[in-house]
Amino acid sequence: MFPPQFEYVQPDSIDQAIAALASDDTRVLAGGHSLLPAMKARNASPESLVDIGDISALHRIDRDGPENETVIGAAVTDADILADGSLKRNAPMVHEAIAAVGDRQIRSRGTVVGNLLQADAGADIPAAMVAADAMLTIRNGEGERTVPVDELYEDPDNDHHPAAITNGDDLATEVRIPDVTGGAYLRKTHPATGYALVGIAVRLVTDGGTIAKARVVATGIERTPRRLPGVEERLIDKAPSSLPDQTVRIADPEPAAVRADPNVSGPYRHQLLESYTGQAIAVASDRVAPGVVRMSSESREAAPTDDSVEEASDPTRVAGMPLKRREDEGFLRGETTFTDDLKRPNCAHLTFVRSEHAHAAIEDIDPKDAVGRDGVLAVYTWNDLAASSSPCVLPISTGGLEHDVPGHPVLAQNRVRYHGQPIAAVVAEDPYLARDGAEAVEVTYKVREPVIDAVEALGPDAPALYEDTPDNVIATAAVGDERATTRAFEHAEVVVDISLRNNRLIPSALEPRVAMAVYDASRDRFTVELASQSVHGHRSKLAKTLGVPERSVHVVAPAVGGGFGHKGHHHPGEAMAAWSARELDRPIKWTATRSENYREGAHGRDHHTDAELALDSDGTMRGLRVKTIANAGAYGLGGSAGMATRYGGLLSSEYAIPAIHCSTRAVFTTTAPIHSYRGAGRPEAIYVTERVIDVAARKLGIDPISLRRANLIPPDAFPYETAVGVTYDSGDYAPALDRALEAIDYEERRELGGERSDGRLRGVGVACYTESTGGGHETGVVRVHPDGSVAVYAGTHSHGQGHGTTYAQLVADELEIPYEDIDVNEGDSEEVPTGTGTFGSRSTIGGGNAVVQSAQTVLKKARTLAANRLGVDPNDVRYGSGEFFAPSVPDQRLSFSEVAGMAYGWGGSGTHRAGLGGHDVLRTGGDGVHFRDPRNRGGDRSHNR
Amino acid sequence: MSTHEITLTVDGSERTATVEPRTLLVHVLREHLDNTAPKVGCESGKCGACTVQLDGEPVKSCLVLGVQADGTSILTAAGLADGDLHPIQEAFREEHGLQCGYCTPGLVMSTLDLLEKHQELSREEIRAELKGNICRCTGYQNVVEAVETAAKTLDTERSD
Ligand SMILES: Cc1cc2nc3c(=O)[nH]c(=O)nc-3n(C[C@H](O)[C@H](O)[C@H](O)COP(=O)(O)OP(=O)(O)OC[C@H]3O[C@@H](n4cnc5c(N)ncnc54)[C@H](O)[C@@H]3O)c2cc1C
Ligand code: FES
Ligand code: FES
Repeated sequence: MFPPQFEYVQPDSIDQAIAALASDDTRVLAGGHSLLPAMKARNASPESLVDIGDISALHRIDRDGPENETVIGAAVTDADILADGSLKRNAPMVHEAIAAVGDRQIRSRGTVVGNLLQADAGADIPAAMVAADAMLTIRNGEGERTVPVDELYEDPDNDHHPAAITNGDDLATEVRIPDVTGGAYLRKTHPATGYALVGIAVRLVTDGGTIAKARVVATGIERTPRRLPGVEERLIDKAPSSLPDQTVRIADPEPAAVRADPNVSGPYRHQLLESYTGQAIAVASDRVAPGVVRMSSESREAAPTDDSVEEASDPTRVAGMPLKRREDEGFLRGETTFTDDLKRPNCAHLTFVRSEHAHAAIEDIDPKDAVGRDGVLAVYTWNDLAASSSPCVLPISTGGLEHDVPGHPVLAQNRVRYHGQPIAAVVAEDPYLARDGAEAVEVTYKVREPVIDAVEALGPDAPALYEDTPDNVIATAAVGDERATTRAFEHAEVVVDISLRNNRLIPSALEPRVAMAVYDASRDRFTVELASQSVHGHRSKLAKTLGVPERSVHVVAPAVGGGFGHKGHHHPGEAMAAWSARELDRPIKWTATRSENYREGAHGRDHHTDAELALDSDGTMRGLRVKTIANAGAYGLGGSAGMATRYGGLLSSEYAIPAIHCSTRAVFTTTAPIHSYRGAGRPEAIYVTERVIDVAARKLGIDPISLRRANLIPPDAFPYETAVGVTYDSGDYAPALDRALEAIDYEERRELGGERSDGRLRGVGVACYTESTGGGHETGVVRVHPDGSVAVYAGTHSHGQGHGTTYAQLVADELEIPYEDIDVNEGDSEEVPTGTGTFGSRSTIGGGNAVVQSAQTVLKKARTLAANRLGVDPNDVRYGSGEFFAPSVPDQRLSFSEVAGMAYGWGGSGTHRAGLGGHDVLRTGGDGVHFRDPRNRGGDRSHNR
Repeated sequence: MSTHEITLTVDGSERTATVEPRTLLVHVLREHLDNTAPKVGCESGKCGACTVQLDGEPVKSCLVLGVQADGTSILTAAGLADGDLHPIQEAFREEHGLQCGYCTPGLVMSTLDLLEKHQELSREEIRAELKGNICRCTGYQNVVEAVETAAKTLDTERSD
C-alpha cells in the first residue's frame, strides 16, 4: 500500500505553516500515523501536506505559566511527553492514556494533539483529555482561539472530525492540561488491533474527605468520547475509601446502544465497560485517598512454571543436542535474502486490479487511463492471456469431484466469483506507478447475487457459481461404517449432539506472497523465484499454467518468511509474473500487499458440522456420527475442492469408538478458495471429537478428563484399527495425558474456575490430539566433496523449521563426521530433480529419513572403497568415529576424507563409478520412526504418536 | 510531482536519495539504498517488521515518509553489530527466539529500544512493550526468554 502522489512542504514557523495551509486541499501532517494510513487506504488524498515536525515552537512542553497546567505543543510526540514525566506527576490519568496508545513505535511518531484531533473511535487520549477539562489552542490567518477539548466532539455524528476545526487553515498549536492528580485511565485492549475495545478515564476531586466532582469518560463505546453522567452522579458525596473495586452497573448507555463492530458486540462491550469502570474508579479513589486497603479482585495468580520434562538424550549423538541454529545469524543481521529482497537489473513490477464484488459479470474493463500514464508498461486482461500460447488457468485436480469445473483463471474470464479475484494486471517501472496504474483501470460490473455461507449455498434458491454445478456441490464422500453406526445409536443409552462451526481462517505468514520471474528467450526457460513451501510442486503447477514442459521452469525459493500452507499453493501472482516476463522480456516482480494476501486466499477450514455421540450411561463411547458441509470457496486450487471430504480419518483420535460414520459435502461459495491451512483437516476433526466429548461430559455429569481417560485406546489394543479405517501401530495415551495435566496444574486451575468479582469468567479446557503426518515422497541427496566435506540437498524447504541445522545433525550422526563439515541446501528445483516440500509436519520424517538413507548409501560405497585400499572384504570393514579400519589390518586406518579423496582421485580400483554420493527418493514409511501400512488410505500415510 | 533530495545517515554512513514525497522510508532504505534489513509485512504500521531507529527512537519505517526522515540518522538491524553479534542478537540465537526470521530484524530493533530505556522488566511487561511487533512463528515464548537473557547480559556489561 502506497500513498497517492502529493506535494510536501516543511515550514519552520507557525506563520509559514498557516500560510501554506491556506491553499486548497492541504492537510497538516503531524506524526502522520493516522493520516498516512488513511492515504494508503485512499480514505484521504490531499493534494499537499504541511509537515509541522520542523517547527520548534510546536515542540514545547511547558509548566512555567501562571496556571497549574502542562502545555504540550502540537509536534510533541507521545514518547516525548512520556519521557518528560510532567504528566506522570501532574496528571497521571492523561499520562496513562498516552502510554496506552498503540505501541512503542507508534508512540515515538504519533503526536498528542494529532491523536486528539484524529479521535478515532477507541482513541485513548481524547477521553482522558475530556475528563481533565483540557483546552486546545487553535490558530489561523485571522487569529487564535482556545476551545475546551470536549467541544471537539460535540457532534458525534459528524464524520468530519474534529468538529471544532472549521477552517482549512486552522492549525492546532497546543493543548493545555490542568493538573489532575486524582484520576486514572484503564483500557481493555483488543489483542489483534491493539486498540482499546473500551477505555475509561475517571477523575475524582475531593472536598473534605468526600467526592465533590467526578468525571467519568469512556472511549470505544460510541464514535467519540462519551461521558457517563449517571456514574458521575453516584460518586458525588461518597468517601473514596467506600468505593469497592467491583463492576459498576451502567444504565446509560444501555447495552443495545453501545457501538458494535466486527470485533465485539455492543452488549459485550457494555459488559467490559461496567467492569473497567469499576476498576478505574478504584484506582482513581486510591489516588485521592491513598493508603486505603481495598479488596482487590486483581490478585494475580502466579504464572504457571514451565518445568517441562527434560528428555534424556544420547550424549554421543548430535541429533537431539540443543544446538544454536546455524541459520540464525543471517536473519538476526537482516542479511538473509527473502524473495522481496531480490534485485534484478531492469526489473519491472506487477500489480493486480481486483474484484470489488463477491459475484459479478464483468461488462467492461477500460484500461485507457492507465496505459498512458508515466511508467506504466502494460495492462493485461484475460483477452491477452487467451491470445497467448499459455492456458493461464491454475491446474485443478478433478479426482473425486462430481462435476467437471474449470480451474482458477489467472485473470477473470468475464466473471468474478470472489471479492479480490484478479481481473487485470498492470506492469510498471516501479510498484508505486503500478499501483497508480491499477487505480486508473475502470471495471464495469453487473453484480450478481453472492453466497458466502456454505449451508446457504445448498439452498434451493442459492445462486449457482457454475452452470453445470447447479447445486454448488462439488464433492461428496463418507468414511466409516454407516450401518454399524446407526446400530450403535439405536442401542445407545445416552446421545448428545452438537452443531459447530470450524471457522474460516486466513493464513498469515508474516512475509506476504511474492515472486520474481525471469524469462530466457534463448532457451525458452523461466526462472521463478518465489516464497514457496514446495519448489517442485510450484514447478509442475507453473508449467501447466504456462503450458510449457517442466524442464522449462526452474523454481527457486530463497528464505521464506513463514508458510502455514498458504505458500504451498499455486496462485495467480507467480503465474502472471512469469507470463509477463516472457511478454515484456524483462524480469518481473510481484509482491502482494497484506490485504491482497488476505483477499486472495487460499483460506483454511470453514466447516459446518453436526455431530452426535452415543454412549452408555457410564460414559463408554459407542458411536460417533458426523455430517459436515465444507466451504470450498469459489475455485478449486489443485486438490483443494475434494480435500475436505477426506478429513474424517482422524475423528477417532485417541479413543476406542467402535462405530464412526462421517459424511462430507464440499460446496462452492463466492468466497476466496479454501485449501490446506495448518493441519489441513486434522484440527477440524479433533475439534469435532473433543467438543462433543465435552458436551457429553456435562450431560453425564462426568469429569471431562475422566470421560476421556475411560475411553482411551488401551495400550494392549495396538495395532489398533479405528472405525474410520486407520491403523495406529502403537500408543500409550494415559501417561501422556497425566503428564499434560500435571504440567498445567489441572486440579488447581479447575478450582480457580467460575465467576470473579469483577465479572470475568474463568475455566479450563483440555483436548487430546492424534496426528497423521509425513505423506508423499521426498528426496534427500548427500554429496561428499573430495576433501570429505559434505553437501546435503533435500526436496523440502524450511520456512522457519531450521532444516539447515536438523539435517546436518542427522547426517553428522550417520556419517560420524563433524556437524560443521555439513552444508544443507534446499529450495531449488534443479538441485534435486524431485521433491514434495515442507507442510503437514512432514519434513523431518520425509526429508530427514531421505537424507539419512542417502548418508547410509554413502557409507556403504565408502566402505567398499576402503575395503579395496585395505585389501579386505567390504564386510570386514568397520567404521567408527570417522575412520575405516579392519581387525585384520590393525595398523592401518583411513579417515572419511581420505576415502572421499579416493573416490574422485587417481588410483581407484576402476570397478567403481567415480564420486561419492547418495541420492534417495524415499516414499515415507518403512523404517523404525514410523510405519507404512497400505490399509491407511493410499499406503503412504504414517501415524506417529 | 516534485521530487526531493534527502540525506540520511544509515548505519553510520551518509547516503542521499532522490524521492517523491510519498516514498516511504522503508522503500527508501530497501529500494533506493539497498538496505533490506527492515522487512515489509503489512505496510500499515501493524506488524513492526520494518522497525528501525530514527534518531534513537524506534519507528515503523512504513509509516514514515522519506522526506520526513531527511537529515536524520537511521539504525537498522544490519548496522547493529560489526563483528560479533550484538548481545540482543546473540540472546535471540541462544534462546531460539526466531524461526522463519522475517520478523527478526524488526523485533531486534524494538528490543534494542526497550532495553536502552528499561533495565528491569517483568515477562508481562516485555510482552506488552513489544506488542508492536508481530511474530507468526514463535508464539513469543522464546522471544520473551531472549529479551530477558539480553537484559541480563547488557546489565552485566553495564556493571563491568
Ligand atoms: C498501528 C497503529 C496503532 C494505533 N493504535 C492506537 C491506539 O491504541 N490508541 C490511539 O489512541 N491511537 C492509536 N493509533 C493512532 C495514533 O495514535 C495516531 O498517531 C494519532 O491518532 C494521530 O496522531 P499523528 O500525530 O500521527 O497525526 P496525523 O496522522 O499526522 O494527523 C491526524 C489528523 O489530524 C490532523 N492534524 C494533526 N495535527 C494537527 C494540527 N496541529 N492542527 C490541525 N490538524 C492537525 C491531520 O491533518 C490529520 O487529519 C494507532 C495508529 C497506528 C498506525
Ligand atoms: S511493514 Fe511496517 S509495520 Fe508492518
Ligand atoms: S520468526 Fe517467523 S514471523 Fe517471527
